[in-house]
Amino acid sequence: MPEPIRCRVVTQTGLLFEGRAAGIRAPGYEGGFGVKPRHAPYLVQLEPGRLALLGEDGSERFGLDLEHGYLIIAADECTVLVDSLPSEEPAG
Amino acid sequence: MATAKDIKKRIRSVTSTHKITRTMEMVATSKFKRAVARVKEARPFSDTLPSLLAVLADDEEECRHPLLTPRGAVRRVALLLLTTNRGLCGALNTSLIRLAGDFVAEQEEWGRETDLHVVGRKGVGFFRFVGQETASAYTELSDRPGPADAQRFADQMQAEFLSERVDEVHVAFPRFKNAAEHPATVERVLPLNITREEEERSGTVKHYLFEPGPDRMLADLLPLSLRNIFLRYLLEMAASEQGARRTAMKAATDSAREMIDSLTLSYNKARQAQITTELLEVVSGAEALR
Repeated sequence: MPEPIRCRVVTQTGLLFEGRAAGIRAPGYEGGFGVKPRHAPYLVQLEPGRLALLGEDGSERFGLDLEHGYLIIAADECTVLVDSLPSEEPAG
Repeated sequence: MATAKDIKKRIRSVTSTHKITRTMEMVATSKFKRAVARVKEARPFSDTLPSLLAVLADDEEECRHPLLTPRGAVRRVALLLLTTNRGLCGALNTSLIRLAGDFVAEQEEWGRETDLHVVGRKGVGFFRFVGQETASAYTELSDRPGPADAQRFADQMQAEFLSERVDEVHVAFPRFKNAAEHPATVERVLPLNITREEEERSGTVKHYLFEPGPDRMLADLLPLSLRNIFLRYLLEMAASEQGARRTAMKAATDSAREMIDSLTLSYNKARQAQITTELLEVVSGAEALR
């Protein structure tokens, strides 16, 4: 079984989550997408929707409704920059 | 020579000052810790942004964006000077204002005009006092600046730059190192600079998939990067202010303590001298009556 993805979710004012996830579901620029370990290097702009970091059993380990952000993944390391959250702009 | 009564009065006054500075030192220490925590908490975001920009820059042969493009001839620059709203923070504001003055003089030597945008009551008050005109003045910044404040300055400076009113934007701020060390610094903000070092730091992985394309993403990411740069300046400013105030109040408290000790010694000497004189008078009086 591949190693889980090391994930960090950060806003301009702090770290929201740091840990490992077996998968990620996120709202991308061209629609929702999923990321599994050993994903190709990927930089994507996030649109309004729910970001979910998943555990081994597919359950949501960490979830966040966001307005705008970026997700970058390379070598099984993922960072999500949350620019703004719903009804709060910019994120803080 | 001061009498024991005069000295006692003085001791009472200095003790009261000592209490005030000690309290201010404790308040500043508490605010300083919170301000430093905010600087640290903001780092993961601001450390990641340059690597994102570097990934995009790596993919593009030549990054073309108005916020990245240097002007052929620089005729007018903007300087955003950050100062504090309140005093009692040592030489923090003085050194920032002096640095801004040096910057303006240097630009003049190069034949450039400078638009001075001043933030903070201390800076605004100084330029009003010396009668120097400023392009804008802002005194409503809170002790706890946040992303909304950063956005305000980023939008203002971005508009100045994109409208070609100015060809470069610089910021004068205290670079926070620790409570005692926060050197006044001028940094160029616009045009933005994606350095080679940042590209190298982004790692060895190349050939990213982008969504949307790099051009579009860069156009979206650069304003965010600018806002984040301003947020870093504001957070460093807040931490430096509290650090400087704590250091200044500690020095004042120590001086007051020393003064109280020295005055107490003088008071005891004066009191002893008074007692000796009175005793001598009593003894001489008794002798005269014998």
